[in-house]
Amino acid sequence: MKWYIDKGPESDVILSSRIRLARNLQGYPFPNRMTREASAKLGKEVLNSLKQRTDHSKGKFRTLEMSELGSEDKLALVERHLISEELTDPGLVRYAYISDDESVSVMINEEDHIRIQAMEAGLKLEEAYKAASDIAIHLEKTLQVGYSEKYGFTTACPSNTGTGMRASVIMHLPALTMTEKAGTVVEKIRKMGYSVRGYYGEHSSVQGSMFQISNQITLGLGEEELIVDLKKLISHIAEQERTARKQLSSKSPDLIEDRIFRAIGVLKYARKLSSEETLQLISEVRLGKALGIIDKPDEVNFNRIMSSIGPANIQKSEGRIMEPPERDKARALLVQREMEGV
Amino acid sequence: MKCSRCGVNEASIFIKQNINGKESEVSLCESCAKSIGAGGISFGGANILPVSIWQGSILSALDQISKGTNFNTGVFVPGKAVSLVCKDCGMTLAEFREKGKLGCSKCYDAFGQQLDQVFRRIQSGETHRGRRIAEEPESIEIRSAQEEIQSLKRKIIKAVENEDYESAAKHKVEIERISIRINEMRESEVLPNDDKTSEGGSV
Repeated sequence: MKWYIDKGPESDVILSSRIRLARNLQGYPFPNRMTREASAKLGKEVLNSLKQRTDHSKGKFRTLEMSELGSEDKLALVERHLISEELTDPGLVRYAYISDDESVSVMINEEDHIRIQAMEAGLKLEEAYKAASDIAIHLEKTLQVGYSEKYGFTTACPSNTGTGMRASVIMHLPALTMTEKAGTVVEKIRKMGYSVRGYYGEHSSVQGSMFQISNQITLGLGEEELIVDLKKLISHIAEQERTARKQLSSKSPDLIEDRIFRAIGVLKYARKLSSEETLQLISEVRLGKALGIIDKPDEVNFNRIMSSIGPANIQKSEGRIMEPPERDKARALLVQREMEGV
Repeated sequence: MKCSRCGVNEASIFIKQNINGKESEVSLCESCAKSIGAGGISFGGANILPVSIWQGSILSALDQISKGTNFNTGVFVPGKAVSLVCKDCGMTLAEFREKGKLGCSKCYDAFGQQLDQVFRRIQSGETHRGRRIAEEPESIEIRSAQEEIQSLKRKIIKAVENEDYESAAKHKVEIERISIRINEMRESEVLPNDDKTSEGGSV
């Protein structure tokens, strides 16, 4: 089973947890100063080391050379958070090394030589950290990884130096959004030194009340401390969201019920759905489920919808290039199937 | 006066610089000045030498640059003008400042002082406190126990300063107790893995 279909701890508010570790090799310039030849050589070296791993807890891994993929295939991977947009740039030989359940992926020749990321459903930062650091330690033992006694792991950007770790959590905050408290919360989070982004990560705006919150500091604190601090913040926000949900349903139950059933109606019967509208409606139905107003669909259905409604994933499942109006039709059909019996 | 680069030859070229009203001077012999000039790169019209050459005055100038203050220098070097540069990948400080990205792992040695300033601003200090290379991650319990030891050590120093030897002795006993606990925690974490490897051959 793909990791994102799974339901994790605190999934009423927390969709997923992710850990990303950046590593570089000595003896090669960073990708921003690298030749194509060097990038190919480094790619082979890293892949060789990865393939020697004896830990098969995440199942088999597949290796993808970016230049061999079609643009839709690449975008589908971006939409599923498996690779970044930067990895699709054709300037260098770049690879993605992805586990069967898609919970672990290693990007080679992105901004740094190696970017390891591990994802888990719900709030499971420690588990994600273990999965990512297991791979990092293997690479550190088998390759000449860039490391300084003073600065820790070297990275192309000083914003990643030290642990090279970015821990992020995707939170669903519909009640805080509806009560217009989300803005203040986001501002506070940013002031505390964390970054807040949308569901699709860097440069993306917030859609469907999904917020991605991550640490910005990577140097001067240990990985465990960073994770503990982020978890404290996340739990605090989660409590605020739960309180706001209770207040909403006790103060204006009719309004909330109306919104939720309208959203169900559109998701079930609309003939055309944009990805933005779908995310928004899913957000409302998900709230209805969390408040106990409805008992279906299951979270598994939400997760499956969210992982498959991006434009590239729609085209991939249909097996052809489609114009936006056609995609909206295909998306509506896909959502209808998931909403059956609701 | 000896050359500040090689320290052997007599200096014959004297370079004055003025940074925000603060004047300083560097002296070089002719061959050092030439060799710098030949391999150098210009930095925004100002002439700056590699880090290995002028540890003191030039770096303080670069400090000012990275702080974004006005840099007005009267440096003179024969031949081409030069800049602080990473000898491994050729990244210059100017490029780093422009792109915000470093060129290779060795840039951390070349631009250490500038990086410290960047880190002080954007990070929680300039020293790595996370997992070291190829080290297994310590559990949070072990880490907090280690921090407890550090704090007890500081308490001992204070107690000794105040001639409170009784408290110092108590803290010492406490440190020993925590150290034993850390070792126990480490052993219990390592054991399952050891089992796996020892069984590995027979399975």
